[in-house]
Amino acid sequence: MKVNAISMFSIVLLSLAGFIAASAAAPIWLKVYWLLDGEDNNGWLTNTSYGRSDNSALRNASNANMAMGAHLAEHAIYTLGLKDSDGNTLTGDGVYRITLSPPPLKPFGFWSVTSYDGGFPLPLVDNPLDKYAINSGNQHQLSPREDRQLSFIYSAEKPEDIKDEDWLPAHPGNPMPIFRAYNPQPSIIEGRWQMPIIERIN
Amino acid sequence: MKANILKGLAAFVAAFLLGSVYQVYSMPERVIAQTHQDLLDRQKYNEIAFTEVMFDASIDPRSEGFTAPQNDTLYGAALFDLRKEPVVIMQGRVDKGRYWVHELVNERNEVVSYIGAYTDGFEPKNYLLVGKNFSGIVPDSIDRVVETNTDIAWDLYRIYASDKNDFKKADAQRRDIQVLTLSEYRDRHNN
Repeated sequence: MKVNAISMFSIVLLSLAGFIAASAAAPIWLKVYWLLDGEDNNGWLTNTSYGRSDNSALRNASNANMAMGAHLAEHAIYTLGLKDSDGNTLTGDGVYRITLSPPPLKPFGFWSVTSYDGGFPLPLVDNPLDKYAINSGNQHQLSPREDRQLSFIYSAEKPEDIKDEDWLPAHPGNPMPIFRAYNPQPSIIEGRWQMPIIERIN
Repeated sequence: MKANILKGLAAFVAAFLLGSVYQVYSMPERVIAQTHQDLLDRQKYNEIAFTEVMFDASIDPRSEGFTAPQNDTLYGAALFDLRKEPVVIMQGRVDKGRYWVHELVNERNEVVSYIGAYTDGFEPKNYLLVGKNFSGIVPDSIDRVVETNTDIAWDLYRIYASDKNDFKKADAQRRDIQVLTLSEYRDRHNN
């Protein structure tokens, strides 16, 4: 009888431990799910489900865990730059050239490629230029190209032959650029617009 | 002994699985409830407040309740309580072409409405924000009625600022927003 009582107590205790472990583990595995959820386009992960009422419970949980208050896709597209054009994960020692055509936007929209430390909660990256994004506002500072594409270097250290204006500082350990398009045209939302190409050049 | 170990292990796994299901289903409401509480720790219902600076690498996003903030966006937030009456968002003038938006999010983390440059332009306007059961008279001076499907609505405000030189201008424009309850608005505007 005594043995049964101890056994029952252990089971209750282990059940409680299982429940506590689940609450500790959920934010972690939901972050992993978030990093896999969406359409892969040139190494950019695009999730168009933010803020919607018709998502699965799992997606709602993942979005709430990682992207509270993100816009509906019709109003803004968020894409995480995770891999280069060869399919390799971005690394802190990589020197990348990011090339894009001017994103098609509805009136009064803007776009940006912002540089983050990929660890939660995705802080901006400390750098000597105090520069955090290439965007609609500073794109005119990029060196012009004959094909009218926009192109800049994304790396933790600025290569010697690159002008400050053509460089977006990356995190040295965990680089993650995020491309955003506010008031995007349907071609961006539907994946018909070519996402920026992230090409490793070192 | 072996049977007891197996029973214990089964109890742990079952509780972990049930706990995980609970976490998934309750996550949106819990996260947004925490967001609401964080806002109410800093400001009252029906009051819009703004981040004081442009985000840069020296600011921990958590200190402002953010994930992945942008450097080129200035933010604001309000928590509207529409249980007793609607609120009026008195939006000031914004430079023509400058991106701005009020994104309204309900208690389930669903985006329910927008007010912004794309839909509303850049001139000063008054917006009546109503909850799910509103059936009153709308004052003539209201430009648009905006509906939500819950009685508590979170407003995430964003306005574009190109750089530090542009900060003051964009900051002044976002601080030109006023929020009043409908009765306060009627008293002030005599209608």
